[in-house]
Amino acid sequence: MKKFRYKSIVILAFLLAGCQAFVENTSEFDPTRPVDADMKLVVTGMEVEFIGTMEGDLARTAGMWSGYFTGVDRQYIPLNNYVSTAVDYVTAWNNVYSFTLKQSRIVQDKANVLGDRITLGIAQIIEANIIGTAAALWGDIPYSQAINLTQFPNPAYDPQAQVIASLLPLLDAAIANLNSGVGTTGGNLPLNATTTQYIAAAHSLKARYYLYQKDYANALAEANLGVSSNANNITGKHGTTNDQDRNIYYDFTQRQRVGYMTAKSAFLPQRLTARASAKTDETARLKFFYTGGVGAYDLNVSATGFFGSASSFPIVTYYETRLIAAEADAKLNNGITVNGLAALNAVRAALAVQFPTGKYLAYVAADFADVNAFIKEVQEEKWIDLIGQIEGFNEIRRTNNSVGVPINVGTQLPQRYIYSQNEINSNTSTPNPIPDLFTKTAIFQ
Amino acid sequence: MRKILQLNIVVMLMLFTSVAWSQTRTVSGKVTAVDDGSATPGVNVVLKGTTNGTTTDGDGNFKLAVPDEGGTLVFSFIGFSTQEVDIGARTVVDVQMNPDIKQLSEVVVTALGLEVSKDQLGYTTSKVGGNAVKSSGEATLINGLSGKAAGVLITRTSGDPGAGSYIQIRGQSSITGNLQPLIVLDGVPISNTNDPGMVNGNAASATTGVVQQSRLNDLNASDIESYEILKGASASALWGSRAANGVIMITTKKGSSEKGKINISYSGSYSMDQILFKHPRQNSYGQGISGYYYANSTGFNRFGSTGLPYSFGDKIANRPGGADQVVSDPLDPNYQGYFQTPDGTKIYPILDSQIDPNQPVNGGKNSKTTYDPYDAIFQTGHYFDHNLSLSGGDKTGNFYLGIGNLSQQGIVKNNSDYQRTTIKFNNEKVFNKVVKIGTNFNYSRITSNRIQQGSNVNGLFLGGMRSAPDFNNAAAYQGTYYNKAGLGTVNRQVSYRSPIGRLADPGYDNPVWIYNNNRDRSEVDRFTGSFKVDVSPVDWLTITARAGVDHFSDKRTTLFPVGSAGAVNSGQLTLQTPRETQFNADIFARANFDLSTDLKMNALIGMNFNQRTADNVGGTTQTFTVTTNPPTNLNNSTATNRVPFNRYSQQRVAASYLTADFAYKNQFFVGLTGRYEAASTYGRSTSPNYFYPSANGAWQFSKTLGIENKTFSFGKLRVAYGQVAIQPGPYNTATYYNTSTYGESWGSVLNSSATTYGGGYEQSSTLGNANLKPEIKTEIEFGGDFKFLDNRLNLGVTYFTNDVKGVILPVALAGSTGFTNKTANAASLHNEGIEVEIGGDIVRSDAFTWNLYGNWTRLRNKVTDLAGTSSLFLAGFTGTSSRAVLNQPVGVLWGVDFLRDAAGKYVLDANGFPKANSQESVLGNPNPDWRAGLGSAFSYKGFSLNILFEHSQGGDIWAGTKSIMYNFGTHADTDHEVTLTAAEAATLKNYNGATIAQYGTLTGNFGFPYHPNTDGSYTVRGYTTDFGGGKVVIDESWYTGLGGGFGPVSSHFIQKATWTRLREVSLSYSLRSDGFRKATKLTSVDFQVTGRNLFVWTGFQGNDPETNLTGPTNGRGMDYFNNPATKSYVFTIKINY
Repeated sequence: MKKFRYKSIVILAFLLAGCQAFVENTSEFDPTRPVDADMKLVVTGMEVEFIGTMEGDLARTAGMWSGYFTGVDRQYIPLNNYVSTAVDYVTAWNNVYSFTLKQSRIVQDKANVLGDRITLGIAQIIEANIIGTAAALWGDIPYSQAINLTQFPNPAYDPQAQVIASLLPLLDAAIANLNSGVGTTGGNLPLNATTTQYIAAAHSLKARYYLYQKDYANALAEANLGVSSNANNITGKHGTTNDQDRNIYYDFTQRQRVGYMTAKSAFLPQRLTARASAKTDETARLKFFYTGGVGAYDLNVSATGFFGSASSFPIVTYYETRLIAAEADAKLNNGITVNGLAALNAVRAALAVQFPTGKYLAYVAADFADVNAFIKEVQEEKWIDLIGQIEGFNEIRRTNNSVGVPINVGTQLPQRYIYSQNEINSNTSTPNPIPDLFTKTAIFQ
Repeated sequence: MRKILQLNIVVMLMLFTSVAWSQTRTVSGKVTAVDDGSATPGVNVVLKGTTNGTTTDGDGNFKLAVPDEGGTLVFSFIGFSTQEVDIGARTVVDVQMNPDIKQLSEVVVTALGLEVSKDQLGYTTSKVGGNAVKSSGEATLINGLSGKAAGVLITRTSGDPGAGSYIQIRGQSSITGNLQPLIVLDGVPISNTNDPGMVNGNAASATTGVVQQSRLNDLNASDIESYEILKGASASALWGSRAANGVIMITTKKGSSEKGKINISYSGSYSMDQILFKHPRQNSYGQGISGYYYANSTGFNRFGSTGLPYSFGDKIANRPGGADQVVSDPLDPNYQGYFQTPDGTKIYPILDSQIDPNQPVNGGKNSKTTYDPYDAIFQTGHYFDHNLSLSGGDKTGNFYLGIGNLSQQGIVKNNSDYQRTTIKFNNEKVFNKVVKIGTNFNYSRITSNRIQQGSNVNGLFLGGMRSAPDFNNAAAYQGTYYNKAGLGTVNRQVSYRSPIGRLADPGYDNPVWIYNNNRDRSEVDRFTGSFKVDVSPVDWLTITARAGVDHFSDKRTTLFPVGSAGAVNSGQLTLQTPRETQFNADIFARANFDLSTDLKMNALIGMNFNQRTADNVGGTTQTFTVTTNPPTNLNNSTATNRVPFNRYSQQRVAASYLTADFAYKNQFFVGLTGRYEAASTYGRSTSPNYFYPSANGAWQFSKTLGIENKTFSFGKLRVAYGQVAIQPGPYNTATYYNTSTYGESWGSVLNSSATTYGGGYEQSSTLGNANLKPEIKTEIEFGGDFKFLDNRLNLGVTYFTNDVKGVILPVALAGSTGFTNKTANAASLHNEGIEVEIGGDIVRSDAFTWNLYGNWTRLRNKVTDLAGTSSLFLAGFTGTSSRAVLNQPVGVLWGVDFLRDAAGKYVLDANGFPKANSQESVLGNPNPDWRAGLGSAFSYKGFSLNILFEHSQGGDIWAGTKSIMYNFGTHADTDHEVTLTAAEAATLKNYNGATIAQYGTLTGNFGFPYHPNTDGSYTVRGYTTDFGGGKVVIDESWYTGLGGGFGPVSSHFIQKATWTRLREVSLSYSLRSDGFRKATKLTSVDFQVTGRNLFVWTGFQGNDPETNLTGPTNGRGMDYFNNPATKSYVFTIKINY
């Protein structure tokens, strides 16, 4: 009896040991995927996600609601007419948080470990830009508790104004880090900017956020330190390879969703035509943005067009920076000053270089009936310059639609985006009920 | 661990226990079969009233010590009637055994592939004869099983040849995990994957592409003897984590052990397959918009660079008739060039209307002819199926050789086919009393061309069903476009949005272009081999070693030529070879003991090793350099346009298991099993070992209570309890880094691998989990088996309930946490159901038999815990999806409903139209309330007739195709006309908020001003209705807005999927009279005609309500340009020598 028990245990132990050894000889990890990556690689990853998020889905919706484009087919017809639900924002929301912001934080962690302050600064700028954009679009958003699953599985929604305010010190830190000169710009090909360009862009972003806050003095001061020429714009780089690096507007309108979005009855081409005057001829700029004629405008996707496959996509620009300076100056002084005029005329001078066949003669104070007319011109110029960018939609709401973009349907323009359905499902901190499309956000009242 | 030890010790003890008895004389004899006199080995010979017994050897001989005087020997063997023979004074007792037809059908195969009597089982299985599947008329194996067993749901996803099907046994036991049952072929598990493959380095989507084949269909149904469906956890605990979804045990045919005769059998079948349902289409209005004919082929270009997709054009009946006015004069301001077909025919554009209320609405389109796109696409499909088998054997062994060839042409006119050649060989050799060896070998070669479907501009139906009724897809599809200046461009496609090939991208592929030019080719080599050795050193002990390998490779070529619609416009080629190899080995020992006169025991101890490896290496190349007749070469592009990809996974499972079966007085039966399993997919920080037990009991109460009589001939009650663990899939234990790719649901991507970006990585948004545990499914079932009228009728009833805890799924996390999901043991599921199987001979006489068989299943399934997530995406689209939602059945349809007030009434917009809710909710449930199958088999002399009806009650399906046909104005439901007086036209509004008279003049209006009648009234395509805010007009602005499939609301396209179908009817005649046999030397010749899916009664329009876009995935109930289902007529002849 004892003998059997003994034998049985030995046999069983042998069998079980055999089982365990058999299974443990196969890895639990996927041999085809890494579980970590070098900082430089994540920098590239972060920038690609950043460019896509600024230029893709969110920007097209903004464009249809800002007079740049017209949704003319299938799902884009209801979207064009402000029929939009929480589902429309699932991917974009995740692109903001899980893809752009999280990679930025990973880069910041890795940069801190390596002491690479330049990379740290770049990642901080990306964070400030993407979060500022998200706050402008959605209003209150998770920020102080975001990207920290262990501690905050249901990140709280910070007030919109508080989020914007907290980005200013972040940008200061970024500028300080970049100014230290310690580190590299490795992995920086998607934006392909120099340290100097990044520093200027950080100032431009500060100027943008001060303008949101109606802090005109600081907006003006920062704009004057901001992007100083078109050559120094921060842009997303593109190429001509399918499913790799094509300009997203090009890819969307020419490959993925042909015919969904044109500029058929969009306001911008109409305004560009209407702006013709003794000092201004916008024909060249119109042709750079659009093809076709009245009632049948379409995006210019040719190699020399704004939406061409390899055309770089503007993210932080000289024009916007100068126009912030112009508006801030006018509002600060409640008048048309030399500096204000100079800022606007700087843009016009650069446009004259960009469009040699166009006409952009310098304005004088007498060209404007009063300071409000000046500000309106500055805001319209900015709206034109922000074509295709999410910031154009932010401007319309900030300026209470001073350019007069026609309402596609009904009586009001959308005032925000709707929270992502996934966030509604999975974050118990999401406001309930969620604010609807036409509820104004706190800072763009 | 302690439990398993104790159990093991008991077994060991029993192995070495012996029972002594007194003996005085020896009786011997030989047992033979009555029909052919062959020796019958393995017959139990027992001295009645004692435990003294033996079994016959390989030659049918036995020897047994018996008392000096008297005594009775009981001879029993599965498949034969038990005989009692008085010994008297004899020393030699020879016996002939009579086969027991009734019992034969009740031998079932257990999870380990061993045969036992069904009357002794404490759990349910369903057995389906191989012939029943073969004669069902389905070309492939899975679908033939449909409707034949309770609790087994088999849903064909498409009529494509060899297409995969969804099999579900007793509801869903996982949410995102694999739901398909384990397939075991002659004791060796084989692959039944349905890999959609990869494209451009990413997993191919389930909502686009082709319906891939099911690997189960690689088997030839002609080689199958029977299917045993083990449904419960108790029945399948021996296969461990892989058997949670049930097990289908397939037993192949073996040669019979008759006296050396070789049986030769040939069967040949021919089938005709036709389309089963068509989407109803309107033929009253032409291509165009707002009542004007417009195809965007001449000048004007109001719609940018894309052809007009809508069929809201002019009324065809109002056209003058006759030839169309084309623009062929180069001096005409509308001249746009022409299209030249390969045979030199020139096609000039038809003059578009000017979309002007003061001009003719039909432009130059005079013809009243309309076209059915189905005619351009479909034909009567067919297949030839030839099978030849040789089999034979004697008492020392047997063999079976089967060769089959199936050659099928699908219902699509070209490039939809399936060629399968199979070779099957198995043999058994009995060396002596101790050793028996069997081998098994299957080889299948399948080549198939498949057709793109689904949400895909290159899908067959997408362009086909959106085509305008006045456009003929079949007229021309490929050629050269010459522009205004006379410059030609080759490889242009004609489609209804690009009628002269003027556009480089035609918007949607012409279906004729698709089936002639696109390639989706698959070449499969499948090899399954196994061997088995039985060693019986002593007569109560058998040791079995069994090992098998299953391997397949599927070489796939996907080619879109230059000129295809959409993203593949510049050409795309993907080559890949998904492969899988599975190795499985079992070794187990079985022992029989008689513990006392009344108590008998079978014990088994064994081990199992299993390894599954899957990989796929391939590449995608796009933007071809050779654009005309492109070679099948991944180098046909510039270097940056080539994307290689590969994928690999390996997982192992090892287990030891024990079973003990007890029989008391042949009336009470108890079975116990335990399995101790380890798997490689757990994080190493946790123990990879898990134990799960099961138990079942059966009581033949009719015997115990002595209540058997002519009317009530048998009764058994049974109860089973089982636990089975479902292991996590491989590689979920860590958070990985992926190549950074910006993506959006519209398809555009930025890939950091581009040279422009230099290569980048990002942390995945899926959080890994090193602490994953198995999902544990616990099932209890109760039931009874009853027989009536001298065993002629039988009834089986089962109630089961199972709970699955710790279901592994990607728990949705708020994106703002940095992760969108985390793999975790998070959810719980509950299933319960009732299964009833009934069968028997209503009439049984010498000449005529009427057999009735049926099954009924009712299943309730609920997600009882979803880890705080309110809904989880399983399959479908961002707009409409199949999901897991808390407190709802798995797979519920989910999407946006109209905005409603507390009373459920529409909240209306300012114009009196409903609005979309801003959030999603549950819209429907694709799970049926119950399903039933009812069949009747009649036989009269050589004739037999079999009829099988199937019914599915309740359940919903999303009519996605219909919703999109609404949008484009091609669905029959959009064929309305209303005339509004001038006064009405000035006040009634359409969905765009414009009055009918004012429509087309406001920003944001979809269309153009309607053409008024001479009296100022308006006749428009549409109708008036009232949503509760006053009369409004439903017209194109509604269909292209909220009222069609591209609007956000999908609730109005959720429909009931209830159906009843005549699943199969077959009539056969067997020629086997003695005279015939003598005259021809043939054993028999059988003729059969089968009809498959001949009638389906359902309220759902357009496709078979069984269809499913995402195929055998976990999401169900979606029709979105799915390729259509078929009905078939099959003619078969079978010759047996």
